[in-house]
Amino acid sequence: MADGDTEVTAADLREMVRMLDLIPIPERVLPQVLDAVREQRGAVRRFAESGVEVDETLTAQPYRLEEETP
Amino acid sequence: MSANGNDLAWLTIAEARSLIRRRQVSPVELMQAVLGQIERLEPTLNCFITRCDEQALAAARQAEATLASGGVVGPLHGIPIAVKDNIETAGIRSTAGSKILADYVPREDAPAWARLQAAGAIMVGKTNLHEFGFGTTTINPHYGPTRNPWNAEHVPGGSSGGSAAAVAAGMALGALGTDAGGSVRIPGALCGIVGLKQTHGRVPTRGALRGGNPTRDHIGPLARTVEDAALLLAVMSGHDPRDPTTHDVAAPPETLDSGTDLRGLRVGVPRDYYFALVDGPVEAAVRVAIGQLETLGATVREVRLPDHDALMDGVDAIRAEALVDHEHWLRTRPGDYGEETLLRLLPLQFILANDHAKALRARRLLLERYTAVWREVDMLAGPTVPVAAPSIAAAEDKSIMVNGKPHGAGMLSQITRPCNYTGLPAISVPCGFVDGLPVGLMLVGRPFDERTLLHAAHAYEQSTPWHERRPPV
Repeated sequence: MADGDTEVTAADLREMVRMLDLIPIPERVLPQVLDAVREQRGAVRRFAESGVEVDETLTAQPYRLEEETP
Repeated sequence: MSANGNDLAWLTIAEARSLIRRRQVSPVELMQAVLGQIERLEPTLNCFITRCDEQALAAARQAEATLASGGVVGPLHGIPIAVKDNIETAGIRSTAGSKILADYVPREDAPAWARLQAAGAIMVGKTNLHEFGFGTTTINPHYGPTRNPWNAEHVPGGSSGGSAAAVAAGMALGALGTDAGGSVRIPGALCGIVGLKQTHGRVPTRGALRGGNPTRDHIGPLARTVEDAALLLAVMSGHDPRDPTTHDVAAPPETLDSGTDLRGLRVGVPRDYYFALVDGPVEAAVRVAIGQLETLGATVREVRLPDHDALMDGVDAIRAEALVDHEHWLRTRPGDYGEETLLRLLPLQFILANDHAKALRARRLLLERYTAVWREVDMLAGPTVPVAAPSIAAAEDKSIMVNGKPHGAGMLSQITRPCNYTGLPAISVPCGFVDGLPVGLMLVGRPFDERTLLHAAHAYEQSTPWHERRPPV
């Protein structure tokens, strides 16, 4: 996958599937899969650019500290 | 009971159970009325993947015999209920709306359904859904689209579209759905009924098939009134030793206060996210509904949810979890998936582990933003869905118009999704109509405080006429 502003390409996806033994992608749906992957990367990029820091989050536990339970 | 058979199908659960206990309606009469609705409307609406007419009628006869012999009856004795087909039902095939599981017959009931059944509920059938629950329209490639009872050219919402449409059309008195991104609340809103997603951990999700999101999924009730949803929730609630996601907390009340006084209740209206993408007429209806809460005595104020947009981007990578349940079939039977589901699942394998780990922490931060808001207000209010039910054609063409701009059907879960990441309880209640199609008001509450949530929703419902309307079926 390319760095920086260069977006992932269909060739990148084919290469990753081959190299990492990922689930094969039928060629007929590859363009739409590529769009979805770009959207996923876009969400990651927007979050990184938002300035919200997760480094000091003490837990990845999804639900409730003691005070959140009745 | 002077009501004719067709009228019986429109009884609320609370009304029906009262009439059954007083021997003014028999479970067989009630079941015949509901099965009559199914027989009449199923060719148009396509709510069911598997109908259980014979078993349901036999169970109703048994329920009647139990009553006649003075036997013990549960709180749902003889009540016809529909069950979404991604919820395991012993001896009845449970396809999850897929070709992959087309012949799967579970040996065991999901606990949520088992508890309703133990309380006397009778299953009328397994309802249609978006394949594996991965979508918001119930346009199913294997079993056909379910249609909205208010306008058959429109979607019922999803993924629990069959359950919602069945309840809205008198084909069941209540139903079970699942909600991993809004799949109970969305069809509830678009079909003009109540959809309740309780706090994550209150009801076991064990037996919800291959949704792939155990930390986001819920089995929740759909009903024609808040009172009925509360009753179903009370029966389903409770710790399940075989489901580590459940908590050992007291069940919410089975019955609600009858009053509509909301004095002392503090309602927050989020400035962020919730109203960012909402069609004008829907927003207008929801704003009027929020005004009604104020009329009932609640204090209403705007609140901030800082970083909400960014955190929803941040939690997105959690969706990678869904791949776990499907990797084997994607490798061995890819041709048995509908294309939309394939397109939903295959991209997930390109989510990086690092981004998934950050997403889990982002979810924690999202929850903490809500926790901060609970110091200011008791619940949040906003729209359930940004638009009224789109047409099937618009959903298929990704041309669902919001304020003049086209969107895909994923937009329908824009407002419901956050509660699946935070686990917070949320309910959709009917709050008006746009172009003859229902609109939902969503209330979001504190963790495990369904009592307050249900009371507010019930008070709103009882002070407005929306729940009394029936679709033109």
